[in-house]
Parts: sequence; C-alpha cells; structure tokens
Amino acid sequence: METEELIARQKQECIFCHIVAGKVGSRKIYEDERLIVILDINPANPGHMLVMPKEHYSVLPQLPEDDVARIGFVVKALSQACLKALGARGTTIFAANGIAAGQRASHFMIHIIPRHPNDNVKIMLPEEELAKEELENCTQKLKAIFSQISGMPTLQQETNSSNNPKGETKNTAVLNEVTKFLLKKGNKNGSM
Amino acid sequence: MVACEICEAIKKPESKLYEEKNFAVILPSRPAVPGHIQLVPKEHKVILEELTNETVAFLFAKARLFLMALFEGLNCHGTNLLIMNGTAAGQSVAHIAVNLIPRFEDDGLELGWQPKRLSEEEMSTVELRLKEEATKITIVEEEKKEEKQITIEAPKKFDEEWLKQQLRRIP
Repeated sequence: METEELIARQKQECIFCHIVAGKVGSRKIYEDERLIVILDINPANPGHMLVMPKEHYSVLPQLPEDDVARIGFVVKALSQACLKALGARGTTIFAANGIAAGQRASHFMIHIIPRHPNDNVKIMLPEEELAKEELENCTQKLKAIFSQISGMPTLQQETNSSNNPKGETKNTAVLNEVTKFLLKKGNKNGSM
Repeated sequence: MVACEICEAIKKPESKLYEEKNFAVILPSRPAVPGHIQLVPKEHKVILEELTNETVAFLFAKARLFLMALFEGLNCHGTNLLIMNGTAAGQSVAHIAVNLIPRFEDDGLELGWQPKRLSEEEMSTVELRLKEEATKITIVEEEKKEEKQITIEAPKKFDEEWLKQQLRRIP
C-alpha cells in the first residue's frame, strides 16, 4: 500500500480526527487554527492533556517545523497552567513516535501530565550501566549523522573556522539569523 | 556550589555531540539506552517555566530535526521525547533537558502509566481551571512569518524512506 493510501485510511478511522471535526465530544482546553488540546479521558493524573495537530500526522518528524514550534509554545504555556491553576509541582512532557515507542493512536500527540510529589506516576528512565562498546558505537553513528544536519557546522568545521576568524560561512549566517530573530522577540530570559 | 552536570557536559567534547549558539545536544551521564541524547539550552535553566514560550518553541523545532536524525542514523523503530520538568516529575539534574530516546521493538524500556479514575465532576473542575489559563495563550502571526524565513530543512532523504517504514508500523 502506498503512503498516501495508508494515511487516508488512518484518517478515516482516526478517533482524534473525529474529535477535531467535532463529531466526537471532548473536553477542549485550547484550540487555534493548527492545534487542539483536550483532556485525556484516561489521565495519569488530573489535568493530563493531549496536544495534537489538527491535521492527521502519525509521528512528530512528519509535522511541518512551524507546527512543531507552535506545539512547543503551547506546551510551555500549558505546563505553566498546570502549576498555576492545578497546583502541580512539575510536569511530564511525553511523546511516542512508533509502536516500539509505545504509541497507541495513529494521530500524533504530546502528553502534558501535571505532577505532584509521590503521585505514583512511573514515567522514569532507567539508569543502569550500559555496555561501553555499544554506547561508543551509537555515539559514532550519531556524530556521523549529526554532521549532516542541514550542512550545519560540525564541531570539526567550527574548530577550523576559529583558526580562520574571517571565515564566516553561510552556516554561521543562518545561525546569526536565528539569534537575531529571537532577540527581536525581546526574549528577556535568555538569548535563545 | 556544586557545578551543574549538564553545563559541564556542554563544555566537554566527549559528551557534546552537536551545538549551535544557544543549544547543544549531549550524551546524558546516565543514558537509558544507547543512543539516548539530550537537547539542552546552553544557558543554565532549571525548569521549563524559566524559558520563554518562544524558546521552548525553538527547542521543539530542533527536537524534530534530531528525532529524524535518530531514525536515520540508528535505524530505530520508534522514538520518545520526554521532558521531566521538576523534581516531582523525576528530574534529577537541575538543568532542563529534552530527552530524545531511540526505541527498538522489545528493548525492554517501559514508559507507561496507569490511568486514574476521575469523576465527571473532577474532570470538569480541571477542565475549567486549565481553560481559563489557556485563554491567555496568544500566538502572534507576524512573528510566525519571520520564523518561516529561517526554517532549516532536514536533508530530503530523511523524509520519504523511513516515513514509509514508520507508517507501516503504526496501528
């Protein structure tokens, strides 16, 4: 089956697409033209929210970058809402991409779970010792792939350009744009 | 004062995998699985609430790119994004981090939870309280336009191939 066909079939059967369309009821917390946030009907804790793109995407990397940024913006605001309005002492932000990661619905979503001390929600990462060789192997693979990210400066290239102070590459120009853009927004907490 | 583990990791070439001006991708000191990485702001910030909404938006956009890279670089079957925001959420290092975790079928990692039963009344109460806060969220479209100009595309090959594989694995 082709990708488009799979997606079309998933959409028809997707309960969350029906929620977005208003055909199935939900407790809606937030909505804009791209996103919807509802309460999870099987919450890990009271106030457990699902942040979803209105459009049907299965995994995060499928979403346009703008939508992911928008999700980040809304997640941050609603995490704060959990602390303020529900007296939560922390929040767990969680997303699963793929069945192997524990994904259950085919519509991508990010969970925001308000947390309280000793609330018995067990979303913890194991901290066991891992085999050094396997770790090192993974690290090498990651370094190789990260060096390809959009032709951005790798650590190696950066070292080179510091030897060559005039060598402001295209990449640095892009990064400067990012910084300028964020500074313009008047981010007082930091310069990101 | 004890030095921050993550601030230290950002400085060390053996734990730093990638960096840009304001964020870095590092190897956690206690990885959950091989390939577990953390996307962190370079500036020492403890919890999400210390960052602006825009900063978190920026980090999420970057997380998308590195999730793609995990799929591509490790051929994993899935990925998790996890932020433990506050000690009540299990945060153990006082520097906010976006955990990106490659997953394989039968890797033994359990990141689930038991649902709690709430009454209709309890659900309505939290709904009202959260909604009230949510009405304060405003996204300015003008800013979004500028954001588009700086969109950084992942290499094309990330998208098509693995996406097909991924979709077949989803119910």
